[in-house]
Amino acid sequence: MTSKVKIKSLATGVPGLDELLGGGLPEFSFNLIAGQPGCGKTTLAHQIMFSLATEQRSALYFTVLGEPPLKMLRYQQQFDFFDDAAINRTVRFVNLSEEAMAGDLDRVLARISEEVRTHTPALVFVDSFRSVVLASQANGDAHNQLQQFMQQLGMLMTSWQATTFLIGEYFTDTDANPVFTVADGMIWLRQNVQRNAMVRKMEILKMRGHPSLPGLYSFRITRKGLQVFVPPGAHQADSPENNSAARVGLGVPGLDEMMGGGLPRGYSLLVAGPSGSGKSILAAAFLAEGARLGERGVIAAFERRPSAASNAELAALIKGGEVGLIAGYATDVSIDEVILLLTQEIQRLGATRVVIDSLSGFELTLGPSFREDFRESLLRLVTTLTSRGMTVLMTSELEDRYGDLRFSPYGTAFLTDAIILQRYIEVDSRLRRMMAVVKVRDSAHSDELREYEIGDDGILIGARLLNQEGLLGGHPTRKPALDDAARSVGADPEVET
Amino acid sequence: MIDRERSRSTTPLARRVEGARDSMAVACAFAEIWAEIEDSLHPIIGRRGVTALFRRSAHVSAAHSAFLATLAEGEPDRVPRDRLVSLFSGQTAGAALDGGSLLLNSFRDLLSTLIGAGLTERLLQSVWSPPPSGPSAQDSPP
Repeated sequence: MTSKVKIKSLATGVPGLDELLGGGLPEFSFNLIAGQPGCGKTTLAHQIMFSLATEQRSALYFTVLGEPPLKMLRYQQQFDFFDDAAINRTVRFVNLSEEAMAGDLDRVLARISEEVRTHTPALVFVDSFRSVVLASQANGDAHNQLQQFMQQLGMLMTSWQATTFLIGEYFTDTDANPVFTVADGMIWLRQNVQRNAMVRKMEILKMRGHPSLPGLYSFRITRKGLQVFVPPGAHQADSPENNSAARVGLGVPGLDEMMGGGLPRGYSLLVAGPSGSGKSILAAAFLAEGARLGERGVIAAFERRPSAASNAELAALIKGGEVGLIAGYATDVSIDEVILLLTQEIQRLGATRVVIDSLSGFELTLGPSFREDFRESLLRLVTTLTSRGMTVLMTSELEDRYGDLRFSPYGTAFLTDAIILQRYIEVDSRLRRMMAVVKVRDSAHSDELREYEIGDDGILIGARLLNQEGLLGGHPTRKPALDDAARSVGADPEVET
Repeated sequence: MIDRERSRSTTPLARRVEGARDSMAVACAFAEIWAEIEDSLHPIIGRRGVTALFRRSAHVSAAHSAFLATLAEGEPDRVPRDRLVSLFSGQTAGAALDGGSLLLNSFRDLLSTLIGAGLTERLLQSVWSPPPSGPSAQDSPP
């Protein structure tokens, strides 16, 4: 039997935050919610408070000199989590502006103590704590005063078994600040504006007693409040489930044979080709084939005019609920947000096939700061999905360049398990299409370059392009046939004909 | 346009002075109600916040009850009781009741526009709709 204390975790009610915290918020912890003005500190505090407060676990929210309480109540009411009925029942607001304006931290502490004794809250919020600090600076020796105040406040709250949150405007996390020392947990909110996109990120700088996730995680504020985007499985990598020998049909006659019997289940496939080469049609066929076999799918559409809208078969599958559509993103979306949307939709439908159409559109949709690490983030996306057994098809726009052989503008070809290349070629003054399977990891596959057409029934793969050379360069030349070669040796073609 | 009858009938002031004929009774009742409102709100929005709303309400109400104009200015963090009593008791009972009711309704409306009717009602419930006092009606024994 162990006599060690077990720290209970509180579910914060903020989607994604509990995962980030390593399983919730430690009970009786003394936390700082920090960040620059406007980054969502007060909203986060209210969301946590309204989620956690009950008759048995009431909350006290001390307002100091920051946002006037009237305005705070006015704006916080706009969020779905704000509950009028909880005010003065499970949630109580207390204004400390008079004590704080006097600049006397002892008075502030005495008032907090008095209110805590009167109401015995399980949750205490002090907003904004920064203004308590600033007010105290008027009385000299601010650092010592603040240190004492923090020690006493921390002690008081712990002895009253209150989980406490200090909300403060701090711009750097490197100051030798007594608040940072005493706090058990530090939740730091950051925001960054680039062009017309606002990117908000959250970091758990410290969380005593909990294995919180390191690093910055994007979050979004909507009418529902904050949502943090923590990639599923960030705590531990899922075991790959793609060792199965099963293959998935792509829904294009002849293509499965070229792939060596279909695409291995749990693989990622990159379909690369220039505009109009039929990448989205292939992706739609992949989903339709799944639906025909009873497998559901999800498509994340990033095109300006998604194929889901123009492809009748795909539109019917979406309408019928066999394929989930994720589209219509904000201008500052992060890859983690897309991963979360995808996994939620996959779970909802029990889907096994995923399409991302296209990587080019995806990159343009991301907030500017997320584009810098697009390749790393894409690897995370592919790994997350395939490690969960999803078979993933991604399309990638290729520039119409024939001088070099490239499969995607992001150097992402190595991320995928299989690659299909589509190209335009000029033959007899006609623009024709050609397809090849470039790679299927750990599997034999066709090395043929096959011509294909796009008709009403989708992609129709034709014969191997015989007697042509230099197809990948875009300008094939006719290879001399054997009899032509024989004829050319000393024969006069004019005479032959 | 101000509906004086409605204004009177929907404030706690009219209920408290029911039957009273003198302005002093109205003045004392108003001061008492205001103290209750302050007690309900100042822990939440601070004394300065409550006083600012009161002064703004007085300013708006003065268009219809001119004697209230004097309440639109004064100390930023309190409305002295003696000032309220002397001001209201110096009016006729009818004018004091009308002005007081109007001021309380204006205050409530102003708060509603800022924080919503639901939360306003919740915060002012003890003043506007106090639980009935006295013994509740009993069924007559069979």
